[in-house]
Amino acid sequence: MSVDRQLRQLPEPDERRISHLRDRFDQSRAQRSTRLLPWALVGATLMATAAVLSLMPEAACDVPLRTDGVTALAWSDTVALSLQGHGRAQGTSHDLVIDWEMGTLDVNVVPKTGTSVVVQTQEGTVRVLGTVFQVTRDALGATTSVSRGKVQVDCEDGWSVVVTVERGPHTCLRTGPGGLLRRADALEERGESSEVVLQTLNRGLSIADSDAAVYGELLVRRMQLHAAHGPAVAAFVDADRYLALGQQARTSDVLRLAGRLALSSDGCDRAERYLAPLSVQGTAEDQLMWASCLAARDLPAAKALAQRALERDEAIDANWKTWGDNLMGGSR
Amino acid sequence: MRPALPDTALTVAAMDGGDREIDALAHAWLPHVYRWCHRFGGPKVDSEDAAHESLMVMCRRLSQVSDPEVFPAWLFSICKRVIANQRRKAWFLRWVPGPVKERPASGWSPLRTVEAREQATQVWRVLGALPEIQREVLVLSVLEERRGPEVASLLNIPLGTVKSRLRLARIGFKEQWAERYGALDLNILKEVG
Repeated sequence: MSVDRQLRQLPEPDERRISHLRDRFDQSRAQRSTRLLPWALVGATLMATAAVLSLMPEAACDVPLRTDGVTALAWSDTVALSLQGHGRAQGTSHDLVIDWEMGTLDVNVVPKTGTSVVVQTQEGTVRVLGTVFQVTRDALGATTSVSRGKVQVDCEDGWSVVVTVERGPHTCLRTGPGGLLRRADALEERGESSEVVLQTLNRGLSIADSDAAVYGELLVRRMQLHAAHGPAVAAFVDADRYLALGQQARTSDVLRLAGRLALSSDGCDRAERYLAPLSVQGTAEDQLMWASCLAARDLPAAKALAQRALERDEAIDANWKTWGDNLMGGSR
Repeated sequence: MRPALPDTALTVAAMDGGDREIDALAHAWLPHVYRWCHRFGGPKVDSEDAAHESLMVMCRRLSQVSDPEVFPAWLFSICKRVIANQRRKAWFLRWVPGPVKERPASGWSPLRTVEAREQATQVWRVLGALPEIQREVLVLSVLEERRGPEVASLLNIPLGTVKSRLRLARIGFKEQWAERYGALDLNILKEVG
């Protein structure tokens, strides 16, 4: 058994490549069939010429692609591109690699010409198997759809699929913490349910480095989501985790949202730890809120704080302004 | 347990039929051929390239097979030859001047930990040190999880020979491991204990 266990440390075959191998085999067989046509002699002559020509190395191109409007580009006699966005194309007429950064890219490859086109995005790789297809990279990820033929899509998150007209489109999800943050925003804009957005934020948090700014931002977004959809206690947990990070960028926002949520749900005792720090660094409205809690135990301090708030040249919610004016009473 | 080998009826149909039947046979054997190429090729051979070449050779030379029962062994031997050729090619290319295109073999994901890669490299080294007749029995029995009669059929040898080679292969593996790394039994003892 010890030998067996040692042997099983060898890597398992990548089962995703079986479908790629199957397509490749089919293409090779199809090419072989065409060679059996009656005009094989002519074909053989052409092939011999092509073979000689192929021995002469074709210079590789490296072209930046950037366009605001939709632009057509004939890369070679077998590859046509239509693009709106930006990226970079590198390779020869029959062997092209496109790094696509943002926007929509349409690719038309003449099938069975031995042409290899690979479109790479941060989320995955699309390998052409003779086809017409489109890659769109946006905040949601990289989406591949096919108009004719099929493509092999290998996503960075481990999914690998063959996309055809019937089976598609397929979106390679963003994988980095920053990408997942942008995806969560895009999902929210699209009106997806809070559960779907929450899943994306959780995935981002699970892979982000807790020292990174993006980790704090993901925590803030999750706190906002919990504050809006509940449970409130989860929002407080995220607020406390953010404050413990020591990051400054969103401290005021976190204190403000958690303070208001605490004030509305549990009262001053719960709100103190969030509102008290805002008495110095917060807005006039933050100061009035904290003054409302302070008034019960230290009226002079509450009045002093309210006065400072009302003297600031800031827009204040009408209800809070009235409350402040009442507190100050005849002194104003 | 690995999927069973394809039915002999497919081979018979391909031997009597045309391109469509040959393609069907190739499709049925494709996953097995790919796995063999991966397991026997090791990190220096691109298993997809090797499997593709093996299948194309199979399609071209199927007419040479006289008995469908020996087809699995015949196909397995094609794979072994293709892998050996690719290894030689990889070795030869090291001496050819000019840039060499690095091609990581399939299954070797960059996400694997350094430790796992190192362990796998050690296993490949020990496997590579075994005689080929022992290595193929060991890989087919342990990694492919094939039963004795299947291994016997693939290698076209008697069942008794499979068993004896497997026993010798296990002993050889242990000895080679102990000679190189010396820790196999200790690890196992720790795990068992």
